[in-house]
Amino acid sequence: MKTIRLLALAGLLAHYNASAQQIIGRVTDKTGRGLEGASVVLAGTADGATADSLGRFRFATSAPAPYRLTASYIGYKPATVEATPGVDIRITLAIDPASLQPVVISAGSFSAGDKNKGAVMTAMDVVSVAGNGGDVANAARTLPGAQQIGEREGLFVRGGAGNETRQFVDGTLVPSPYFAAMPGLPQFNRISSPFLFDGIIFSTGGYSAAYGQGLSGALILETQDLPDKSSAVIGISPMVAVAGVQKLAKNGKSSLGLSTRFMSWQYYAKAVPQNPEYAKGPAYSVTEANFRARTGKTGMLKIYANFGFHQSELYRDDVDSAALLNRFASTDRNIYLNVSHRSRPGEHWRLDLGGSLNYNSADISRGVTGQDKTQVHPEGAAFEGKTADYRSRERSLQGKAVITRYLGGGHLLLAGSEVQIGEMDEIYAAFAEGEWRLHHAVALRTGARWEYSRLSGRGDLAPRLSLAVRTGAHSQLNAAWGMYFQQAERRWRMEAPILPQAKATHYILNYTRKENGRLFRAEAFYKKYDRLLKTTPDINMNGSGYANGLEMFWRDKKSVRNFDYWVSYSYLHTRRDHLNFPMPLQPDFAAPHTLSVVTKRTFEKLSTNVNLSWSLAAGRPYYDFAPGGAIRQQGTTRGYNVVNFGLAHMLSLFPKWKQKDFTVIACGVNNLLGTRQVFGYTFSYDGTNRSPITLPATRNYFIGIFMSLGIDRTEDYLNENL
Amino acid sequence: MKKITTIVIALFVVFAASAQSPQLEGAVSKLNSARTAADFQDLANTFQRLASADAKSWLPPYYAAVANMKLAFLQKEKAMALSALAEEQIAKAEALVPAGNAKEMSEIYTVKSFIERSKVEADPMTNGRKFGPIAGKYLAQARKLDPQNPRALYLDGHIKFHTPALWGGDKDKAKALFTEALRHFNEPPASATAPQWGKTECQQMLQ
Repeated sequence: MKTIRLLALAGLLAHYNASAQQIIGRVTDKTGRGLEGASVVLAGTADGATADSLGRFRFATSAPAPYRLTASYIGYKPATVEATPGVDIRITLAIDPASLQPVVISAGSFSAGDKNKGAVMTAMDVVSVAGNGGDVANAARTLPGAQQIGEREGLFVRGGAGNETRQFVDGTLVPSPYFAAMPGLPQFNRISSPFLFDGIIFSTGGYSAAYGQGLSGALILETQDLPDKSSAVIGISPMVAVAGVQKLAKNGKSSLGLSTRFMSWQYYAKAVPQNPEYAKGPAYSVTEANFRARTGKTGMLKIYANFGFHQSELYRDDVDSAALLNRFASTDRNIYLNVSHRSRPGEHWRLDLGGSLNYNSADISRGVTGQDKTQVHPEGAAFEGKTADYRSRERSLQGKAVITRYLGGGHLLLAGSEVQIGEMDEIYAAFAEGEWRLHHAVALRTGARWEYSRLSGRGDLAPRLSLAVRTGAHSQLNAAWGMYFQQAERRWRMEAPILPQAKATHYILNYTRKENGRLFRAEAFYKKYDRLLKTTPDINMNGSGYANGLEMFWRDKKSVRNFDYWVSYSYLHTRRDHLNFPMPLQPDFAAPHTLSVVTKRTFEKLSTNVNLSWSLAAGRPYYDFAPGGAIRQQGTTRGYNVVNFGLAHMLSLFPKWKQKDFTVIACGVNNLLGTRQVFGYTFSYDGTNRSPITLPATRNYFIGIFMSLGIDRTEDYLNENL
Repeated sequence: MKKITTIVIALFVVFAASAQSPQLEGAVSKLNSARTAADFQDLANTFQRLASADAKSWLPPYYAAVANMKLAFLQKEKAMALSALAEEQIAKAEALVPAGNAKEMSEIYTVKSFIERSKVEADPMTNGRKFGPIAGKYLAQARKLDPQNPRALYLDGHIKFHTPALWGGDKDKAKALFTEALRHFNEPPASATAPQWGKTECQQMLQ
C-alpha cells in the first residue's frame, strides 16, 4: 500500500518536472479566416495562449495527457477538441447566433427613439432637423418615401395623397391631427411635439395589422412613460411663447404635466411681408395636459389631453380678376383625449387598452372682396363657389384592446379589436398577428385585419405578411406584402354615404445594412390601388392607380467626430386615375426624384449645434382641367430646392441656482438661399390666367430662447457629443 | 510514512497552486504597459485562464474584467459584447472579495463604473441616458469606499474632462483629480498583484 502511494507520488512529481509538451494549432472561423485574439486553454489547467493575426497559437504545458483544448472567441460558440502535442490542431468556431443582433422586421419602416428595436434615429435627432419646426411629421419628410410638399399639410408617401398617411398615438388613430386646412399653406400639426414621444415609427408601407385606415403610410407614435424628475420649461420668440410644468409625485409613481403654447405669425408678418396677406393670425394656441401613473406592479396608465385653437384670415389676389381679392377666414377649435393602459397580466402576457376622443369644429368663411377688403358679389361662373360660409363639427370616438402572448423562442402572438365611431359611420375591426422566429436568421410576421363598416354593411379582409432574413452579421433582407383599406373622407361620404373603402396592395423589398454607426438601406416597392375615389362624373370608388420606385438611405455618424448626416433619395413612378382626372395621370403631388441631405455638426467648445438640411425634388406636374373635364393645360413645375439652416447655442443663465437651468438660444432660416419655389398653379376659370402656388415669403426666419429648469439634459447633450 | 506522504502531497498541491502567482504577477505587470487591443486581448485571455484554474481568488476574474473593459473602450463595435463579458467577470470577482474589505470593493465598483462608461462611449446616442447614470452611481460608491483609490479618481477626472463646462464638466477640476490620482498611483502597490493599472493613462492626461 505504502509502495503504491510512494510510486504514485513519485510519478506525479516526475510528471510535473517532465519536459514541457508543445501544443500548436490554429483557430479559424468557418471560412478558414484566422480568429485573432481567440483564447485557447487546456482544460483543467491555466495553460493556454492567444491566437495571433493568422489565428495561430503555440504554448507549452507540463500537464498530463489527455489534452482537451477549448477555444473561445467573443461572438463565437466555444469548441473543444482533443489535441496531440506537436501536431498542428485546427479548431473551427461557429458564430454564436445569440451574439448577433436579433432579426428585426423592418420592411417599409423607419423607427426612432430607444423604445424601438433597430431604431434609425433618436427623438433628439428628429427635433434637430433644420427647418422642421419641432414637428415629427415634418422631420419625417427628410426620410425616403416622403415628398417635399410645401403648400399643404400631411405626409405624401410613395405616390399617395397626404390623407393616406395616418397618425397613431399610443395605438389609436388620430382622426385629424392637423388644424383645418388653409388654401396654399401647410397647416400645423397639433399633436406632434417630439418631446411628447419616445417611440416614433414612420412606415412608408407594409405595416402591421394592428393599424388600419392608412392606405399608404403610418406615423406611429408612442408617448413617454413617467419622467425622471420634475421640470419646468419656458420659451419665447417673436412668434411663439411656451410654458409648461411636469411634476413627478414624491413616490415616483405618477406625474402630472401641463403645458401651453401660443403662436402667432401676425407680428412676424409685419416685419417680413407674406403673400397671402395675413390679416389675422395665423394664430394658434395649444394646451396639453397629461397624467401618467403606475398601476399595480406592471401597469402604466397614460392620459393625454390636447386643446387646440386656431384663427386666421388671409387675403390673396383673385386669379380671375386683378381688381379683386380672395378672403379666407377660419376659426378652428378642437379637443383630443387619449387614454391608454398597458399591463402585464401574466409573465408572458401583455394587455394594451386604449381609447381616444377627438372633436374638431371649424368655421370657415370664404369671400371675394375689393382691394379695400369689403365684401363684393361679382357675377359670373368664375366666381361661383368663391363665396361660402360653412361650419363643420366632427366627433369621433375610438376604443382598442390588444392582447399579446409571448411564446418561447422569440415567437409572439397578438390579437385585438377596435371600434372607430365617427360622425356618420362606425368601423369595427379585429386583427391578429404572429411573429415567428423560424430560425435565428429568419423572422416572419403573419397578420390579418378585418374591418367592417356598419353603414355600408361591408367587410374587408386585409392580410399582411412581412419577412426578415439576416444575410450577414450586420445586414438583413426584408420583404413585405399587404392589403390596406381606407374610408373616403367624410365630405365625400356626405354626398355618397355608401362607398366601399379605397384599397391598396403593397409589395416591398428591402435591404438594410447597419454597422458601426453607419446605416445603408435600399428599398424597392410596388403599390397597386384597386379602388380610389373618383369625383367626376359622380362620386364613386372606381379609380385606380399604381406607384413603384426605389429608395435609398445612408446615415453616418461615425466617420467625422461630432458630425452626423443622412442622405435620402427616392425615385417614384406613379399614375393614378382619381378625383376629377379624366384619365390615369401623374398626380400633382408626386415628383419623380427627391433628395434630402440632413447634416448636424456639434461644436463642443462653443456648446453649439449647427444643423443644415437640403432638399431637392424634380418638378411636379400641374394640370388645368376645363369645366367639362378635359385637360386644358398641363406642364411640370420648376424643381424644388430648399436649404434650411438652424443653430442652437446651449448655456446656463443661472448656474448658481439649485435647479440649474438648461437654456437654448435657437435661430434659423428656412430657404437660406432664397430660391423661388413653385408647387403648382391656380388657374382662372377661363384658363387664360394662372397664379403660382408658392411659399408665403421667400425666406422664413426664426429666433427664440427656451429655458428648462430641473430637467438635466446633460446626458442628452453628452450623447450628442461623445 | 502515511503522514509524510500526506504532507508531501499537501505541499505539492500548495506549490502547484502558488505556481499561478508568478503568472499572475507577470500578467499584472504586462497590464501596466499594455497599449494595443492585441495586448489587452492576450491579457484578457491569460487572466481568464488563471481565473478558471483558481476559483478562490478575486484577482484573476477582476483583472479579466479590467482587460475586457479596456478592450470595450478600444473596440467600440464590439463594446456591448465585451462589456457583457467584463460584467460577468467582475460579478465573479465581487463574490470572491472577502466581506468588509472596503478597499477591494472600491476597486470592484471602479471597474463596474468603467464598464458602464464603456457602453456609453460605444454609442452615446443610444446608451448615454441608460448607462451614464449607472456609471455615476458606481463611481460614487467606489469613491465612498476608498476616497484615495487612484483609479476612481482618474475615472472621475476622465468624466469631468470630457463633459463640457456648461454641464458641470470642469477641466481644472479634472486636472486636480488627475494630479491627486497620480499622487496615489505613485505610492507602491500593496503587493505585486494588487490593482495598480491606470497610471500611464493618468500621466498622459496630465501632459
